[in-house]
Amino acid sequence: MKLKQKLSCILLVDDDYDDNLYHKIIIKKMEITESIDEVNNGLEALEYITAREIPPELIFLDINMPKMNGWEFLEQYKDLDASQKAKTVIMMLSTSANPDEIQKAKEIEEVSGFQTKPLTPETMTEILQEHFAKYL
Amino acid sequence: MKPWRIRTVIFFIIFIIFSLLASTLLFSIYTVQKITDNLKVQVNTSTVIITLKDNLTLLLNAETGERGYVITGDTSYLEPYHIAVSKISQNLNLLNTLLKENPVQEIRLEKLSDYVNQKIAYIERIIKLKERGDNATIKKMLTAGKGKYLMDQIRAFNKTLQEREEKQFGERQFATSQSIRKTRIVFITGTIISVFITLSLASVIFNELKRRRKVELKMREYNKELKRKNAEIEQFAFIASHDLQQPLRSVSNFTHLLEKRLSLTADDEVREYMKLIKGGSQRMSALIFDILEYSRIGKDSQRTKIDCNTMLREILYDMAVIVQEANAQITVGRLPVVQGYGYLKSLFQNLLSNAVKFKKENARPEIRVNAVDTGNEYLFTITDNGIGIEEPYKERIFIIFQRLHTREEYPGTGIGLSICKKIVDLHGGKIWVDSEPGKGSSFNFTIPKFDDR
Repeated sequence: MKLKQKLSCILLVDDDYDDNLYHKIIIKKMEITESIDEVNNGLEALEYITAREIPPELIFLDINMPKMNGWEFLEQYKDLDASQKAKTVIMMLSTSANPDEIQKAKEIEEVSGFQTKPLTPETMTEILQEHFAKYL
Repeated sequence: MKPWRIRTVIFFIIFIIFSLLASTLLFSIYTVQKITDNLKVQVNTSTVIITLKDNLTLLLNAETGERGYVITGDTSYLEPYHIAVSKISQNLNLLNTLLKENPVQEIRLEKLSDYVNQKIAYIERIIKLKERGDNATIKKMLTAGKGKYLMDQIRAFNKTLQEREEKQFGERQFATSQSIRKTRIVFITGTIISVFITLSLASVIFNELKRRRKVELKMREYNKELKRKNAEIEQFAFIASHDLQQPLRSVSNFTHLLEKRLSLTADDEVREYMKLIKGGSQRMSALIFDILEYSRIGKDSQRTKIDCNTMLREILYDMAVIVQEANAQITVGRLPVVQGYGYLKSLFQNLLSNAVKFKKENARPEIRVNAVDTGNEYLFTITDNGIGIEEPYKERIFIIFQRLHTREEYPGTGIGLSICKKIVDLHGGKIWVDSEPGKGSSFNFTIPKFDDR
């Protein structure tokens, strides 16, 4: 996939090493971003976001994680400064398409979509077309 | 204690209380009768005694009057005598009636009457003699002492009669007080026994109620425990299958990458192995997905109004690819709007995809979906012209993991129809199949009309 301009950063928030590795390989192969970073839970994600000057453009957020899960992370994320959230797209990336959880995600303003693992080049393309049209 | 024994005991105690009350009542009636009798006799005897005394006084008055007249010749002295004569005969008649039932006293009264009459006759004779002025005869008569003799006899009989009556009065009085005492004892004991029996009845009933309450509480506890265990099992199945997906995903993800990497260098053997690994992980993934779906049925869901016509349109849209691949013809009749759970979609999906999947070779699948209103419920039927199901398997197919074919013949996890059954059970309906092997099957299920008022 050829982009006019690459994304500067994609953040993976997931405690599963295998999934992170696989998703990194898929994203890297597509050559759509300058960097891919990974953190292992919501707490680390908050630290990562607040420590950076420019927030990541796309976050893939798992639900079940130790210390702080995806939902708890979103609660905290709401309270961040607007500058730290600006233009960030958050996609839920979870194991199962549980109807209750999909519904819950829809009700949260900060969440842009819900995907089931694994991430594939096809779903990645759809996400880019929907949320990053100006990069194409 | 067993329930029938409790009932017997209660009936027995009530029977005892009633018989106690009845015997107390009978005894009271008997005692009142007896006391009334005694009182009657007592009134009788006291009347007899008073009359006897009155008689004697009258006679003495008559005698005094006679003496006064004899000495003075003044007729005014005879006043008491005249009164006595009429009164005495009245009294004797009264005594006669009062003593009628006592033969011994009657004989005594006869004797007394006899002497009284003699005495009156004697007084009369003396008065007559006085009127004639025959004082000598009077003196003679008085000297002979017959008057005194008669009076003594009268006193004696009067006394005996009176004593007899007094004795009877005393006896009756004693009997009455005795009866009253007995009544009091019977009444007090009866009351005490009744109170005790009533208390024991109350305790039997109270204990029984306590026992039942205990059983009820225990049953409620078991029920709660059962619900909790059930929820735990459902949760367990859900979590287990959810967590199973994670490692499986690693296997299939990296197999996928490996396959790409080896696509140019691998030999046939390696390719075959890769294919088997991929197939295995795909099957396991389908299995986990179905178990998840199965365990999720009924979880925190509520009935809503569902238009089955709309639902079927959505399902056919989703199934468009496999329907087209199988060149199947699906006809949907007019369907009702039901009060049901969203899982109905999964029910139709499973039955329809089965109908497409189990088609006859070289025949175009023809599938019809229909529903009829049978009053209390809707009967849905999904009919196909597929391979059909033999008689012995018609019930077994609804049990989880029961398969009739090998994976190579027809792919599947063996969970689909058990999901269908669980969904129909959730609605309180029934599911069954009518089939003729080689000609086709009809899957029927009922959805009871739900009154949400």
